[in-house]
Amino acid sequence: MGRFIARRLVQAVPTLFGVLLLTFLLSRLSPSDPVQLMLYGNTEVTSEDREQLRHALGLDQPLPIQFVQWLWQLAHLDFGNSIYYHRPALDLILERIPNSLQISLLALVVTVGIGIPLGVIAALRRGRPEDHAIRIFSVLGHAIPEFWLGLLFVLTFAVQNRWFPIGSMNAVGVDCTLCFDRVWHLVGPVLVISIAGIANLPRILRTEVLEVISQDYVRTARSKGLKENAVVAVHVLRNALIPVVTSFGTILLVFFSGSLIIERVFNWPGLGRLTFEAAVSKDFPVVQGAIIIASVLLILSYILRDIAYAWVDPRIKVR
Amino acid sequence: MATSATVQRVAVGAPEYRRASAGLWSDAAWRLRHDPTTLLALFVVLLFVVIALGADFLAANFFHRAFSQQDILSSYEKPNTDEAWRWLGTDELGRSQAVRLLYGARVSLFVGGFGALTAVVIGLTAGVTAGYFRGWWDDVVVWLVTTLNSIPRLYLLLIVGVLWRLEPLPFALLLGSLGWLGICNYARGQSIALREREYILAARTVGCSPVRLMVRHLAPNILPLIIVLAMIEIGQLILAESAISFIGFGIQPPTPSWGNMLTNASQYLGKAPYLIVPPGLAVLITVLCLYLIGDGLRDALDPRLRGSVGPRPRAA
Amino acid sequence: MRRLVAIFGAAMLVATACAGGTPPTSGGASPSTAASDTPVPGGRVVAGATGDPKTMQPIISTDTQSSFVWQWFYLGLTRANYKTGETEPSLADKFELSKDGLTLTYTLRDNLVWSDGTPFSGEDWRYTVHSVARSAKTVRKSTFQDIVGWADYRDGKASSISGITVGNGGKTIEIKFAKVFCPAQAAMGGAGGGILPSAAFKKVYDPYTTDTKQNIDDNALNMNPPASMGPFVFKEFKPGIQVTLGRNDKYFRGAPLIEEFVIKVYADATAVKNALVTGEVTYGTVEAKDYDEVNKVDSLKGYRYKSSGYTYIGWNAKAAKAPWLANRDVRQALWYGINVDAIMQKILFGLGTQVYSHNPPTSWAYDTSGLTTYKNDVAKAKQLLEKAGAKMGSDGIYRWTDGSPMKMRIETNQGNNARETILQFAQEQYKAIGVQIDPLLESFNALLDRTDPGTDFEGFIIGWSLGADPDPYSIWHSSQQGKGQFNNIGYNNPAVDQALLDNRNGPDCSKESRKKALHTVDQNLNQDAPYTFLYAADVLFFGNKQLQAVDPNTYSNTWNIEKWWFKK
Repeated sequence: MGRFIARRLVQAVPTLFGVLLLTFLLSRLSPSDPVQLMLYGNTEVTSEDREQLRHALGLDQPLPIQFVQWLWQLAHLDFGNSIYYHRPALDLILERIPNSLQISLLALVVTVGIGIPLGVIAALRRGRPEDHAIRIFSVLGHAIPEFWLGLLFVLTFAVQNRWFPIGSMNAVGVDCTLCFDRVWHLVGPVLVISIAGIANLPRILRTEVLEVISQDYVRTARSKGLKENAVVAVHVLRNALIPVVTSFGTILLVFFSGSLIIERVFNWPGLGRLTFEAAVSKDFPVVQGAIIIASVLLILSYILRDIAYAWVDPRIKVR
Repeated sequence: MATSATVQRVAVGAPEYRRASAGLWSDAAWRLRHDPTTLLALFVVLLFVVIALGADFLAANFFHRAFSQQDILSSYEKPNTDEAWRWLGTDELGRSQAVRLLYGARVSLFVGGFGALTAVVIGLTAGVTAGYFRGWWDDVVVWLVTTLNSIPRLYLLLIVGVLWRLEPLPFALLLGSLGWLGICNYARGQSIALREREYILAARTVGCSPVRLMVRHLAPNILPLIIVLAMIEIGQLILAESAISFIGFGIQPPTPSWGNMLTNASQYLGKAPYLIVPPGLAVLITVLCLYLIGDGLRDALDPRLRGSVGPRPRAA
Repeated sequence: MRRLVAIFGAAMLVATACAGGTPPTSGGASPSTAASDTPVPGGRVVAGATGDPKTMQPIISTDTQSSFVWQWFYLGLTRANYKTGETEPSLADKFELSKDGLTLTYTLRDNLVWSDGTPFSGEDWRYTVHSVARSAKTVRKSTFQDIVGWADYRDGKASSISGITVGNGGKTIEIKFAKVFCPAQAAMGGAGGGILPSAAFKKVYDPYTTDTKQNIDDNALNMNPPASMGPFVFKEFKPGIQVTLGRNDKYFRGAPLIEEFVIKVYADATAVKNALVTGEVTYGTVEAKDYDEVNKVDSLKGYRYKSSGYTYIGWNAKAAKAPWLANRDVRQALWYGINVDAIMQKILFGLGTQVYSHNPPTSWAYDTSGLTTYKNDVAKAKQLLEKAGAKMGSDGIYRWTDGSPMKMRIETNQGNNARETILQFAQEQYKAIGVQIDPLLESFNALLDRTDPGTDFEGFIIGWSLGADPDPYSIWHSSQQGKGQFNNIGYNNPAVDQALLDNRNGPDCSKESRKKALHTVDQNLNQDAPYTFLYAADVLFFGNKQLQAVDPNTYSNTWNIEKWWFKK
């Protein structure tokens, strides 16, 4: 397993490089002048100042050299200073990540916790009303625009009926993480973000469960007299989990992207909202830093998924 | 069946294929004809397309209103049956929501359709060539796909939105250039599996050129399922477009898109709550039908494939 | 940046926003009608903001989100009366302008002390003004340019401003002007924003040198206010979440009854409105479109009053892509071409007053006599365009004298609902008079940056927030067209220039004389139409019913915040 992990990590390096390259190219090839982007809000900037900054940023060098310089800066964890906040961009981003992770991780738990049982039920009750209902719910959950659901949630459950808060992580004056207040504030965003995942899992699981259930070794287990539930739990799930774990990758991708809008709708101070606000105020260092960090997190979660995959199906490691 | 099924799941899609012949399509058509859900979905989508294409005609002759035409004295009207253009109410400038929904359909369907087309072209080409030639080109393609897959799509669209201002056509191209990943993966997998088939080897021995081989032998086998993926991709692109337009980095007003109609609606939730339902519902129904069509097509083409090819959580 | 800070450059919003009562009596209780109406201490007031503060340094602060935070710590020597706007005592209890108008003397109150125990003295004011002179990021320099010795110090030829003297053990400040500066009494008190605690700031920056490269713009205290003279002290800032302030027991008007003041950050104005409605936020203002909805909420009490300022469409006479904007007939046509009545009725819902020139209805200089109202008249607009030389093209768009189609861009900022709606409304209206508009929505910072004096922008919709003392010099004088300055539309009118100087530098500073000069300015602006003046919106203020003693008005809605209390 250790070697597998090491190999996966090594395989991630070219991907990371690709992400950095893409981000760098985007910023240098845009019509917006990076110096202009950096000097926002400075009223008495002279052209000498601009030239100085241009030289300091290395913008008068050929592109490949700029890239190397930029990589060198990144290696020293220097992502530049936020133009809006006058603080290192990396600090801002790292502050916000735990907030976003709360939603993502909880959403993952909810997705798995609701999705898997639903999938199993749909399989076991194939053809019956429950199956159809779950499948309809599945497709609906896929097709619904997340932010629309979020807006409707806020409107119905928070403004018109005060059952849930309209947003934020805590009520004003309350400052706790592992408490009821935080959970109450998490319900809205987690629910909305999970819908996509909850919608997808039952479909995959149902197919897998159906496939596995009709296989020989399962029939053998049944004929041996093992209880139905045990059979399902041990044999079926073990095999059915493989594609489930595969879908984790895409689920996490969804969480990251979706969080951008959901955090805005629910006023959640996470990475998504920071990136959006930075984008609106053209705070380029922060936007750039956020993309890189988000990509790094995503790559890491893919690696974790692959490790989980390998653990569930040992044959994978050979690949 | 146990072993083949598990092998199926392990390798990236290597099922048995019937040869691309008249049989496949007529069989599929037969199954489709007996699948009411998919037929209904197909009908709905076609209806939307027709209406969207006929937006100008309908706006002039049925609604007697242009999409940007304002009538500020009739602002904030609830949906009523007085006149056709008031059916879905009016917004803060007195514009007809019904007409705007129509034009929004045009934009969203165009972006989704054209984007998916771009995605298919890029994905198919990259995937087939990568799978067939292998070697360094394969490595490059895989690297590209993995890289793009590692950046959350909305973040990428956001950074592009910060640096450039996009018209619908470039926007569709951009979305398409982010949506080819799934198609490419699938095509590549198929390509790798199929290139070892006897008839392919035979064609190679005979001296068939690689291009001809890919176009005449590989692609037709892959195409049916690609169409399924394309349907799903259209749906995902429509969702992505509406999301990015909603936050203001996509289609800019006054050109209506379902996404930016929702931006407006969210500001007036207190004053005009009816504004938020039609555009969201439109997106929901369109994407739903596209997924159902995708599902139905896949079932029709090869029922055994259920579960291994299908809508995945949208990478939006 | 410049816009919302015109006030700070010209006068008093800082001082007005400071809390504090009328002639101070120690802890004057509000008149009680029943025993249960006795003010009790305690409670938390939550205010909503639509963004994080960028800085807590008044000198470089250019946006309202920032000023809304530092205004609680850094006050002025005087402030504007919350209702009338007249200059009244704050930290200084006496201020006197000499007969020749060239010397202004402030006398501070007794026993003033910062929240950290340091005594407040005139040296704090002096320190702040010196720091403004050397700052690279400030927009407030024009306030002080008439002080003797200002230019020398600013350019590094002296190590202090000769015209400022602090005497009497720090209790008096004497300012000498090179020429009469009529708004002096109103404008000087705030030191361009708020007065800093010099003892704490001297540790990071010393302005009394000839080194012009050093300044106060970048230091840790800019985000960490060390001491406060106001009703609250800075406690904590959690980016993206909230700013927390605590009661200042040493506040000279008496310790506030409220214990904690929180400024909570929301995504946009609609979210703040939702927070008001659900009770998450204690008080705030709403946009016109939400007035009806919020008015119906039982737990809130509403107040409606005029604001000091106005919204307008600016036309850049120096626009490279729209040379017709330099033509007066064209600008008048643009005014006739837009139905401002409809805007008042359907976008503002009657919650405001239409304006026809610069001085707003709240100003003592307000006078609409002799002004054209430009009532919407499409035919007249077209006539004026044709008189200016435009010829109608086959596509319904006019062609200018150089043959180019009359197409131009109008931009405004996202997040302000009325402006966004007006932008789209204007697009359709101008289509009807043959002018094609390309609308652009952008962030407020981007808007300010793009509409800096230059040639690359055409039309823009924005507003001015004005101080009580009318001094439109920085906006309309032809000398104020440099980078970072406020005359960004290229306005040049010698008659107006003279009138602005008369108003500002007198030498007759009487209200009558100034009013005459200001009316000349208004009349010219009304005819030249460099802006299409739109309206002065009413402020729609709502507070939780349990909050007592709230008395908001034009120049301040929190002037007496130390008296606010929660009735259970």
